[in-house]
Amino acid sequence: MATAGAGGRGPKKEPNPWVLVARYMQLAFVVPISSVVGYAIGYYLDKLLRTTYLRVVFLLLGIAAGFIELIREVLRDESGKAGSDNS
Amino acid sequence: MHEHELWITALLNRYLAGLANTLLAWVGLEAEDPAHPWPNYVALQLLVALILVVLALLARANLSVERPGKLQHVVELIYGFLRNQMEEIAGARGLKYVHLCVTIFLFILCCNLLGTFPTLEPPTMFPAVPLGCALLVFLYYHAVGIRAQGPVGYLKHFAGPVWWLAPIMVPIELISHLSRPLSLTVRLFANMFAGENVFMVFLALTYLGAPVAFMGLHLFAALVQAYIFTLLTMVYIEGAIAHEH
Repeated sequence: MATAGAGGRGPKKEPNPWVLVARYMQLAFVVPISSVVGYAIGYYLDKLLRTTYLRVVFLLLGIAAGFIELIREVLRDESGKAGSDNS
Repeated sequence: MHEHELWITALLNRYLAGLANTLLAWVGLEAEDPAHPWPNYVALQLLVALILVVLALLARANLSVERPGKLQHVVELIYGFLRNQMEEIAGARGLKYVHLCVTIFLFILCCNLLGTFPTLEPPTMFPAVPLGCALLVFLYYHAVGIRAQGPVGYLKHFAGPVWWLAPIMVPIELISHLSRPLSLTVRLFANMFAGENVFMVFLALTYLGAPVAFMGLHLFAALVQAYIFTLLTMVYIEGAIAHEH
């Protein structure tokens, strides 16, 4: 993904390994932290609206957000590899 | 409040307690202990800010194109490296945002490295410091995104590529964005807290061998964590200014 933002500016360069290190270190936190944030939002919305189910809904949305982010990163990496293979 | 007071905090509390109490009163807050309003991490951050300002002034006073000094070389090296990194991630349009990234890198690096000096500890081992930096990044990249694409264009990012998926994508994107400052905070805080404590535990056991190895590891973690924080800042800025999603 190192070059994703630079799309359309000539041939794709090899992604910098340090950028990949940073991105992959981020991945370890993505699912647990998204779940915690989702649950926290649901918890406070439950308190605000005096309901009991929003924490479960937002926990599930948080887990989904984590997985979507994870899949996006993997797809970005795959497309980066495909781009450098084709060039 | 932290159990023990560092010498620099003690100095501030002795001579500038009134100033801290006045500043806190301005924002409607009150110190837990008005006789000791300065916590360690604020005192250490002020020390880091002072070090950076003095270094910048020294570098500026001795700027030379023909014969650059050692300090100028180091500053140019760091700036050039991060500038290249920004260009690689966000392209030429990202270069105007590189100044914040360099500032954050230098600040966090100095904070992390403060732990290697005897009688001092890294301010980043207190969660408030990484959280402050992460919130700054969070607000900055949203502001940059809104400025680059306009409020409507930027908010379209949150709706996803398909309009009928927007009711699900908006909360998912919101959670995803809100988790970014938390993940930046947890990573930096946990690494520095663990590194410092592991080093102190081994130092309490023995003075030979093991503490040196852990100090080396701590130094490496300090550098890598500052770099990762900066790199993720660049990645978030690139995501905010990118027109494609």
